[in-house]
Amino acid sequence: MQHGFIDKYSDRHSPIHSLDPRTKLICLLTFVVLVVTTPNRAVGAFGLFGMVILLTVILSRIPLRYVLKRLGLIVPFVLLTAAFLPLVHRPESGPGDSLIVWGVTIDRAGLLLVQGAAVKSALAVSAMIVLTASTRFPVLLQGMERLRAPKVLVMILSFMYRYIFVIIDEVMRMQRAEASRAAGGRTWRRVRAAGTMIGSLFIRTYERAERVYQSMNSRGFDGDICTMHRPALSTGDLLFVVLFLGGTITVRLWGAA
Amino acid sequence: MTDAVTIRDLFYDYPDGRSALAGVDLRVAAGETMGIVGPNGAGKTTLLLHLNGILTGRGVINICGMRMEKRNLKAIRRTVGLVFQDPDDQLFSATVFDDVAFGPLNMDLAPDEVAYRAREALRQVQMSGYEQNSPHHLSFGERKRAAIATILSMDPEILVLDEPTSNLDPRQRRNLIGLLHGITVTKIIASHDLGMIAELCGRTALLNGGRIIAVGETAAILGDRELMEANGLETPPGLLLRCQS
Ligand SMILES: Nc1ncnc2c1ncn2[C@@H]1O[C@H](COP(=O)(O)OP(=O)(O)OP(=O)(O)O)[C@@H](O)[C@H]1O
Ligand SMILES: [Mg+2]
Repeated sequence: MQHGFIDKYSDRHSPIHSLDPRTKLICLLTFVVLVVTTPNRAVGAFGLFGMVILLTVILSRIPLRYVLKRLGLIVPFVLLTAAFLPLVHRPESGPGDSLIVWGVTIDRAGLLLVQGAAVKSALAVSAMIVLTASTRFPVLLQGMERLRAPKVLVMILSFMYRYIFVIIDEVMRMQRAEASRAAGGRTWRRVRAAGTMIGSLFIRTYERAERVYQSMNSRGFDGDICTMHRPALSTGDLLFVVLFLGGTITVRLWGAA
Repeated sequence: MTDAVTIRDLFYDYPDGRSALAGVDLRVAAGETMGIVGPNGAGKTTLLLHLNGILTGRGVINICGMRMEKRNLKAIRRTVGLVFQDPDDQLFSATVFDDVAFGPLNMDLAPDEVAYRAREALRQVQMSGYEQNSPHHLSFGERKRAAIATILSMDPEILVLDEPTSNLDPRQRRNLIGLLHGITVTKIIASHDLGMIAELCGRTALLNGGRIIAVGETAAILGDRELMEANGLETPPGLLLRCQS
């Protein structure tokens, strides 16, 4: 069966795609930290950060539309949480600091906070989208592993990536089987069927986990995760790191000034 | 000849109380290829899972002179390579290559040797070029072949295969038979593909209801129409003629 993949576009070729995953991970982390710590009023700095992202999107040949679409999926969640900030009245703000809309007092400082949260989350999330869309997930995992991320964490992510589709397949098969026999069934009956389906999915998944563990054991797994050594960073990676970090750190310092 | 596998009086009940093996006795000589046939639910898979200690029932199992015990488990698992019936259970890594390299890596081999073995195993099942693919991007037959490669890369002394030809197209089935023919280690193959059993296995055991009903020359077992039918199996007419001649 067919699914969309989180690493769609990751099989393309571009300067960004060919970077070592570690390079990209380090740049992403630094970028997020720099963006988050930039003061909210530094509008120019955010504009420049946006330019940096735009540049990497262009370099990576990922359609801009794809990045925006993904962004549109995630940012509303952030905004929802941030939306309540201006409603919190701060004792230190004077009478001129708030406006009244439809009888609700809105704090100006809070408004700036929302704005900041929206811009920062959009920047951070789009950087992550570029990373996941330009790196095959297994390669990303290798990168995390070589940056000494906890092995258990890497392994959990790897299992998740491997089995999420197997489980979705199982759900789709069960739904199909149910739908092809439940012609015009009553709603309550279908609800009951859905309940049974969730139950049996749980058991199937549980038993699958057991069998996978058995298969690992039968190939000599003893709790230690062994991995292979892979080649070192290239000059292209170094160049990218220097340019990217140099650029973003400059923007950050300039924004704070 | 010395025995590669000896099973005596093996009983196994699943935790829900269902008896799956009810007194199995079987000997497989070193270098021999043994077929295991039987209807659905006969206990074939359950029996194979005992061969490297994944399931432990009551009874005695000896693998190349090693008794199935906790302290021998590691050595036994290096000796016995088990290919599961469902490739989704076997392939758990994010890429095919990682999966095929998993066994050799656990054997503490040098990285070059691991990479060489993994590539070689993938070449044998004609899956070269799929190294960096994720298993969920493969067709069922491709996953099946990759699953077999994960065991070939470990170079086991005893190769145990559960339904190796299911879902393979005729050409890949033919390739796999040729490949297994060329591997001279002891092999135990459970399958409903009687044609393959007839081609590969010198002897065959017929399993039903958790018991070995008959064991003997493959032609004698598959050619015994009454025996087969009494156990819910049917040898295709062409094969039947060949077995009886
Ligand atoms: N996890 C389990 N829990 C309980 N009972 C099980 C379990 N797995 C198998 N059984 C039961 O044990 C018996 C033997 O099953 P087994 O899977 O060994 O059969 P098989 O010969 O491999 O069949 P098939 O040809 O369908 O693969 C069956 O009656 C089955 O219902
Ligand atoms: Mg079976």
